[in-house]
Amino acid sequence: MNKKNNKLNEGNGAGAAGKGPPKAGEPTGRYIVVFREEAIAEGIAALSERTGLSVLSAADASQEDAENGAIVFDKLGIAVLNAPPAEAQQLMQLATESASPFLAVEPERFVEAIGELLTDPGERSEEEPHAEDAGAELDAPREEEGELPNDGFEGEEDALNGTLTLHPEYLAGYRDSVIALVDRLLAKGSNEAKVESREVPAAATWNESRFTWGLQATRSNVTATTGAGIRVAVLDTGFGPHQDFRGRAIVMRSFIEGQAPADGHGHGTHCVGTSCGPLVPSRLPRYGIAGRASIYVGKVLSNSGSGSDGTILAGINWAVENRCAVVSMSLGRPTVVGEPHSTVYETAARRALARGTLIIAAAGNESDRARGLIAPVSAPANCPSIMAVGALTKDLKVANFSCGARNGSGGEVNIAAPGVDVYSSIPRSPFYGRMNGTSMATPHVAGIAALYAQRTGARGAALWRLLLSTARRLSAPASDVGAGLAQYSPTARPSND
Amino acid sequence: MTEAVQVSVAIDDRFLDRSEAVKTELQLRGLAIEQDLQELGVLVGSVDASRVEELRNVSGVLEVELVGDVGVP
Repeated sequence: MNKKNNKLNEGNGAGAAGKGPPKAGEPTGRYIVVFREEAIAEGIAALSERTGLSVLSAADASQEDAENGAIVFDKLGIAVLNAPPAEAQQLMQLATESASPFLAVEPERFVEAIGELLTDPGERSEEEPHAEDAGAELDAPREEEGELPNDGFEGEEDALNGTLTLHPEYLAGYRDSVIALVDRLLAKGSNEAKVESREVPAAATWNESRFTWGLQATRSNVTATTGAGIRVAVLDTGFGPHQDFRGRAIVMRSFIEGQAPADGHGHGTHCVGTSCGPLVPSRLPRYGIAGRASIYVGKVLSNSGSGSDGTILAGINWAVENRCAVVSMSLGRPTVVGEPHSTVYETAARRALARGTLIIAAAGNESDRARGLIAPVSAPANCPSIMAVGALTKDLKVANFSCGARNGSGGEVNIAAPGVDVYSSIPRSPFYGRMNGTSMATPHVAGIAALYAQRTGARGAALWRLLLSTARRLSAPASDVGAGLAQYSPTARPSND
Repeated sequence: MTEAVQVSVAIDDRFLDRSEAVKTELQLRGLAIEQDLQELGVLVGSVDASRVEELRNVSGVLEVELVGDVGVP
């Protein structure tokens, strides 16, 4: 066993020998083992047995113990240990087996605070290993470096020198994500704190100077297709006024007695913006997908954001009557597990679909996944003939509030789209704002549907299939994100079945 | 007399071409039609709460549901 006299709180100076303190990204020589959350005790036992190390809880271990054994962070289900590369390699192999209590084994790497080093450049630890040992430690982990993601997102890998340069924003985001994760776990205050082993924080940095992150993520910003000639109905709290839509073809109708179709709430304008906002807004970033679609605004929700099945159904009828290819409905009401979907809505939606009108609705924001609550998809999105849209964070993970497929028979989430920190138009100063919700995810899909409808002529069920078949698969389960992240593909064609 | 409730009524696929007759029958049984959503084969109206079940049994009716509230999620 390697006896490098590492201290858990300091690096072992394993930066390329003689070149000074360790650089961010370089391996420390230790390994991190992540246990399956349901097999933590088993994992600890297996680790101890395999390595011969004593495995101690971080709370109980002394500094000396840390140097010679393995430390486990009980509540995170993660252990850090010294192990020679060959042994680590064995542990990694174990992690690939399905019944293994180990979920992942990775080399620990140095991280660095922004703009400052963890160790004083002038100081050399008296326990710094001999140059040969450091070299040996570096060589072996490098064999595993092929597994590192290298798409340039976190940084650049220089295989030749065995270094990984990490972007400062990535490090900052990683740091913030870990802090948030630990705070959340500690806030739970019980021994039941669990963390999804794969919930390794990822920092997504999107540049929104020209396009919102939602347009970028859905790839709907780089196409010549505009939705021209396609009628998109947005059934919501109405629309506008808004300067970005001057000269735009908008038909407005209010189904709320005593209220004009102008948006006295804000929600409707935001949704119209995301689905159909202009190609060239009065100021950047661009936030809308189908920039030349014909907009049909059906005010089915009052200025206080409420409506009834009567107004919604009337709005749907109006959209079908006007041959709208797409209906965007960022509205609904919560359901309970075991609740069947509405026959009336399903009948209406089925007939609309057959007539070439695809209804896309918000899956609902009733979940609190951080507390273990996943609520079933809201009505009317829970109808089989209505496309239910889940919300994604900027890391392309399911949003905390996004409902899931707790009920079958229509209660599935069909697809997902950006639904957090979505920038779009609002009807009063400053005329642009950010919102979260499956309400924001829904018009992304509606906009993409309009693009496909224009380019391919697909309608109804064929348009439905095209959206799902072109979605980008995510690692999240289908019960959360359906077919995945909605995407616009400039070449995809509808199938002939 | 009990309170009036708002309901939505879906006409059965097989009766869409005879929807006038279905509507007449529903009205005879107390449904006050407020919206006739022709594109969808759906009616919205109000009826005495005690007669909802009776409406369900009208020939050509697929389902009758109570109208509920909907909101910004």
